[in-house]
Amino acid sequence: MSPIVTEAEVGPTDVLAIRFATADPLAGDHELVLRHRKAGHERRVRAQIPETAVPLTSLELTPGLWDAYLSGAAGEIRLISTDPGFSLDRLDSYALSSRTLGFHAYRTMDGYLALKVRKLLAMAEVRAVWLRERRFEVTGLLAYTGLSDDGVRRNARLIMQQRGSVSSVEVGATVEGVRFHAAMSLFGLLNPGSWEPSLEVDGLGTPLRLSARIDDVLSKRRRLQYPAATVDGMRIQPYYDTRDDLYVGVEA
Amino acid sequence: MKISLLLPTAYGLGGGVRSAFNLAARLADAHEVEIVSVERHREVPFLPLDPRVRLRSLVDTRPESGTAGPMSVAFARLPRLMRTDLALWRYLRTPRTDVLITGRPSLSILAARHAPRRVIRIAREHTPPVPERAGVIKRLYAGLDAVVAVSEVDRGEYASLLAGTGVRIRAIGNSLAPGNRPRSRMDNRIVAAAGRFVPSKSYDRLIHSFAIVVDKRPDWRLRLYGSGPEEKRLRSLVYDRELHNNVYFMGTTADIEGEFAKASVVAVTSRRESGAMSIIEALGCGVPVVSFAGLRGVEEIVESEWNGILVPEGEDDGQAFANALLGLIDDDEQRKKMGVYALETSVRYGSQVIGAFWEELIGELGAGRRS
Repeated sequence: MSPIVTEAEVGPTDVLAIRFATADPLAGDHELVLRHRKAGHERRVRAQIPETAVPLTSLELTPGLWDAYLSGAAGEIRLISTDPGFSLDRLDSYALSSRTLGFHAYRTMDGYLALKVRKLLAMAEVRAVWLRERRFEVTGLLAYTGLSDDGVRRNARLIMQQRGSVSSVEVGATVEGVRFHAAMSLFGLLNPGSWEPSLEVDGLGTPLRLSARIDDVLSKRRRLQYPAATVDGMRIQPYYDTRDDLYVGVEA
Repeated sequence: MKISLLLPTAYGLGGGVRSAFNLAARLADAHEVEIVSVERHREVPFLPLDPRVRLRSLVDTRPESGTAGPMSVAFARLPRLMRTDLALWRYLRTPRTDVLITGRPSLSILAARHAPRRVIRIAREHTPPVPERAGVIKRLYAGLDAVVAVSEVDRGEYASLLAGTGVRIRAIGNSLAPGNRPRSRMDNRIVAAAGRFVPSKSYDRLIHSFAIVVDKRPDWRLRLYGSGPEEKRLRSLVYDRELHNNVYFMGTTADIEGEFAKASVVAVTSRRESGAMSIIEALGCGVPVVSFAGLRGVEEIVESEWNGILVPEGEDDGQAFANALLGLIDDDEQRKKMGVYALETSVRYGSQVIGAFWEELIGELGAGRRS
């Protein structure tokens, strides 16, 4: 029986840890082969059975999806995985470090191990949004900034920039460690159009775009729809675009 | 031996199609197997099918489906139901198979009436006999070789209805897909539920119960997998209960096991279950199930406080269901223990085990024909 992957996860130091299950001990040397799904180029690293740890940063992986194979004397097999590849809490921990490239192990829909590599920008990951008491309220955590979850308070501001316009609205926000919370009156947003929220935190360079990308739910536009509020005849509704960036839409 | 599984459609994604595909894949280890879909409305099936299993359809309902020759043009102009009936009748008169397994009562009745007697005809029943149709079933199912129910309780009802007819009655549960399946780590704060958004699935009950859960454990999320006519109403209910941050409408997926494996609990609030396929798949991923007691067939799979929790239906069952979810949410150790027992239970529904029951039945019926 071919080995199957029972655990696969990329840790905070960008090391891919894999645990294999095999019915019989495997003889000889083995290589883990990562092959770019579109471009076809590959990286080969020595793999120990039943456990191996692969530092990914030295492999110079380019963004995209990389399928995993195991190569040995008996040939090459695509690695079947029984592990979803992540825990939500560990994804949050992974997002604590400052990064420009992110690695994420996952099980494909047809049951194989793969690695997703993507470019990252520091961002404000949204966890909850409310329109209540005529305010837009949002909470979440700072991702890929390098700040620690130490509970230290920092000065911050929620900025709403109207798309295609120079109009912007600003309000003070609370940041403790990597957790943030902000609330803005809806009366300041009563111009029709789309508003792009971002968070400006003292000590961090550029404002952080409010998005939701690290909770394993892609395409939030379809899956997570927020209720609308009506203020002075204007309909206000937060929504996500196809990249899972948050907007606040205002219609007459 | 050639085995054909006749389904209303092989192009959907419900439990009936999943279980038929799983059974076909297992039977293909030793037989020539085909799936015959009465209707075809997509280019390719939504769910993956074992490449050894042949798939064909009787009526192509895709708007772009071509017609060749004057007979085909005339056929395409017939009303849809008439086309289906005609195509089914034509197929059943000469099915070119040794074993015909029908996946719905209407198909079983037609198979009993029109399929040649040399073909072994087996009705695969996901529902109990409907009392209003008891007379029809009694009269027409007598022409079948066997009826296979998904649970013991259904088997008992078919057995008493068809007593003295000589039809073999068996209980064989639905089968998990062959091969390795994903296993939950049981550490994500996710409750999952899957099925069509129709009243009988009672997702409204689940959403009301989950509101109670969120009140106490706001960091837990409910992921609903499926689609259907109730979706708009359910989304409104989510807004009304201010659960929009906690309830995600995940849409349909061809890999429900992969999604269950991301969850720590699977909730089933149906008012009736027919093959309990989702329950078996959840257990197969090592995830405990919370459901209602008294659901036909479910008590044969879920043992309360062992591999899940069965909540008694009653006046305040929404609160009771929420309490059951909270009980598992708050007790990591118990939840993980139930996950292990869930895996143990799922062995009974492995494709090798279920496939062996089918092989035995088909072998018996084949031997009866030869003697």
